[in-house]
Amino acid sequence: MKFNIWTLLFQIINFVILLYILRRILYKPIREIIEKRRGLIAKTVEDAEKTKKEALELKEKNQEELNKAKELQSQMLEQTREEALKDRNKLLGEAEKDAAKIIEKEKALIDAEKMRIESELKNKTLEMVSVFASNLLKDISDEELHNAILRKFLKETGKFVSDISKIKEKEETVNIDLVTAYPLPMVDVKTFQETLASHLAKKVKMNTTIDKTLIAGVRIKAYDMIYDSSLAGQVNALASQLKETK
Amino acid sequence: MKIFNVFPETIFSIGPVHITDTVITTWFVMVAIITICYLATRKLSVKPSFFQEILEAIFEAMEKTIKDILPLDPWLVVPMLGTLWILIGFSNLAGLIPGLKTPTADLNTTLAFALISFSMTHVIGIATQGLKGYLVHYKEPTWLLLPFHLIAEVTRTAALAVRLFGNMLSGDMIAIILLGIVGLLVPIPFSLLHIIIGIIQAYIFGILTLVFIAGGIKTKS
Repeated sequence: MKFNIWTLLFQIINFVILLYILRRILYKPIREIIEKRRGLIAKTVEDAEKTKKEALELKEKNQEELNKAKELQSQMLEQTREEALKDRNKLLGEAEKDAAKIIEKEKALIDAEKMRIESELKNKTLEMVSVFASNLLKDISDEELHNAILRKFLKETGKFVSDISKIKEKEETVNIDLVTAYPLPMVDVKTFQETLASHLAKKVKMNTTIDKTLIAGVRIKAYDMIYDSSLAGQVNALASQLKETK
Repeated sequence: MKIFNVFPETIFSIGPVHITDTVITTWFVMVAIITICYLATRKLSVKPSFFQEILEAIFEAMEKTIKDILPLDPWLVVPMLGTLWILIGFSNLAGLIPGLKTPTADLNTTLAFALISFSMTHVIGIATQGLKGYLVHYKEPTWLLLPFHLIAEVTRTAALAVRLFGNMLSGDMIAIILLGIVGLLVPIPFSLLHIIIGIIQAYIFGILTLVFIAGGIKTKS
């Protein structure tokens, strides 16, 4: 075994050559592939994180939109409720108005009915009173009363005649209907007829009829004018006068 | 007994240049390494095949080992150290092939590798911290130790060379002696042992180189 400088040198050269070749065909590609994979993994992780972040952002955004939608919904609900309340109040107001109208109408009807009933009651009462008065007078009247009334009537003939003379008629004859409760003495009739004829300056024709319903007194009708001095007539006049008063 | 000579012989000479069988075997080993590496790295892809995964696992283990010892970018020393490991490892195992001599059983070869390791230590040390910064570590902890530092530079390099050479030569010699004495099958267990020793010695060579490099750098920090 001896030292051989050539072997030493060759081995060093061999090493350098091998280093150079392996650098090209082994280390460089291996390193590249490893770093490429690491880069890829890093990028993948980064991408995944980015995607995750994006997903989170999207989620947040969705949540926000959902909240907005909820808010909108509640707003709409509120609005709807307010409108419904308004409508309800309006409807209630109308209904109250209608009810008031109906009540008024009913009231008016009731008032009318009341009035009708009142007036009916009054009429009935008046009728009753007049009947009662008539019956009473019938009971207490006799020919004497009749004659007294007649005398009073004859005294007032002037007033009657002046009333008739106001009616200007061209006819020559005046037809007078004389209704009496008791038969009149012919003298009295004749006297009355003549008095009238002289006052009116016309011929007077008398139609004398007896009617017991007059109770006492007489009633005279000339043209369409009636002069009533009988008790029944007085009662009727009173009744109609009462009817007009409230 | 010329066939079983474990010592290197000059096969041919070109003028003053003597080419020994060690060098020729080394060429053969180099061709084998280059062929294997070429085939291995031909179809690399991001999605690794089974073979590529093994390759990458080896490199990642290498990276991790370097990272544990050296406070530098692992890829700064991976090519040099990797080449040392591969070349020494394959050379150590070349002797198992009948008719070939182990190149690392030649002191000239191991000395060449040791010199490469020696120069690597200094080159990387100076490259990473400058000449001045690198030289400072020789006076650590005191100037008194400078001679010992210098002696250590020589002795550890020599030790590297001799350690590898001794281990390999002994393995070869044992195999040949046993073969001469007891016949064909008995040396087989020793050959298996020789495989293990070859791999371990390659590993030790690389790791020691790494430690020396780190020793030249760590003083700064």
